[in-house]
Amino acid sequence: MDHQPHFKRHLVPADTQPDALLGDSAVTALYVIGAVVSLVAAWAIATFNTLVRARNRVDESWSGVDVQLKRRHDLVPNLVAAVEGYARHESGTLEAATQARAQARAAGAGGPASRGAVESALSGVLSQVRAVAERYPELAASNNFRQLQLQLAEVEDEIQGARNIFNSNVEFLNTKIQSFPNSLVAGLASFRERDFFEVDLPAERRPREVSFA
Amino acid sequence: MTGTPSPGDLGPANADATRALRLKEITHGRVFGYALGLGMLGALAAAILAESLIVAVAGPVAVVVAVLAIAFAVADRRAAQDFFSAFAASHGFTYLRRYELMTFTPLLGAGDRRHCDRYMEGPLSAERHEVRCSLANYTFEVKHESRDADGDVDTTWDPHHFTICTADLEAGMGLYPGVFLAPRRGFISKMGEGNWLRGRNFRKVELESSQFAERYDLFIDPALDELRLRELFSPSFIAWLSGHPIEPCFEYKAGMLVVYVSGHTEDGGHLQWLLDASRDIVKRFEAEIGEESRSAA
Repeated sequence: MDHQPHFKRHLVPADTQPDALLGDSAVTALYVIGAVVSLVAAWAIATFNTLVRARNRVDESWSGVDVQLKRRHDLVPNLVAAVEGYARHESGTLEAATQARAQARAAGAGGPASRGAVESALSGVLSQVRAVAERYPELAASNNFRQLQLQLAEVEDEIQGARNIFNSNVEFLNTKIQSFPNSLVAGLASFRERDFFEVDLPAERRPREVSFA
Repeated sequence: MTGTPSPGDLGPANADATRALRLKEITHGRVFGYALGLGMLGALAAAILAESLIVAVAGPVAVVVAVLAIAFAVADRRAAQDFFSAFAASHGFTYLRRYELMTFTPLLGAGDRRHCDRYMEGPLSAERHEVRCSLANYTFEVKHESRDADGDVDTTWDPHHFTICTADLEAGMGLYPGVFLAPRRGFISKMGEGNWLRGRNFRKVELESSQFAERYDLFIDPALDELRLRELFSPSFIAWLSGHPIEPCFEYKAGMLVVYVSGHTEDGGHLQWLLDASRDIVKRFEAEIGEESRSAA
């Protein structure tokens, strides 16, 4: 203990210093345990932050889906009005479209699973409206209807894009939560797996042309 | 591959496709025969003068190897020329072997010296001749100087290769002061000299996609409105970029769009992919610029 700095000798008597009390191997073991604990803590913090980031991305991308779905809801009344002017006796289909839109709007606060079902129903009705329009050449040729069709196709492309982003974010989060040893941190911090958003879109049945303009 | 390629002619599939044919042409040519014959005579003369059996045996072998290596290099260059001139002709591009671009964007101004090889220029798409583009193998080099034991300066150049497609989009200059979509880098790569965006006053932006974040780093000029950027990066655009097989990156500054991928691309499929990706990115910018001008009107 001759090599101890002067100030240390004042603070701790030589016979009570750690080396003297525990022995060299015990001190080494303490250092190793300390290093391991620090590493584990650093890993847990990093994993926790990754999970938080992944969860925030899921929430953020769900808002993106929501915005695009609302854009579609806003187009439906115009589309119905445009068709109504030419095809008054197709009121059954048009009423169904209005109802499906109302249900979709009402489900606005719901989660991906419940919204997927009502949005798919709306897609189905909108396909019927398109089919109706094809039976009326004047309607199909009208500028207003064609413009609405284009807008609807564009919005459906964006819904598809937003859904892809959301689902890949959910997949990323769920994989992180399920995989070991991340699952330990996820369990302790109460991270929950999320549902995927499944929705039928007419855009997916159209011949694919790269267009996000 | 002696005929001049014409538009519509697909030409060789890549820069190696006609190499064997070119090598055959060269090795069956008169020049190759003369070079081989003269080389042999020189090697024999050297052996006689040196009175060495080793030179007599190794000399001709060395001559054959050297002449074949030169023939291979020439064939390789000609095959590349065949491919790039055919690709340029089939797309209505003019072809230049070497060119230097203006340093509009950070990538085009990176390093200490830079140049383009296999430079092609023409319309971005057959339907729209007014949008011009250039496609090239681009290299920027970083200079390293060191002193040896005698104090002499030893200069080496560290090259970084890319394949780029540039297009003029002046209409968006005021709306987008600077958008830089770069490949995602790890910590070490971020600090490296190959990171031409390092040390610039750009702001990093996080978008909502994990897939996108795993692939790209997005930076913007601080003067750019982030809301406008988010409109440009629509969900379908993000999803498209995140899933694109060639992982196209781009820079937009001063009205110049540069779409790029890492490495020199020497096959038709990948060049076409880059060209198509550039076309789609230009469309995306144009759609947003059009939207903005409609709103302003």
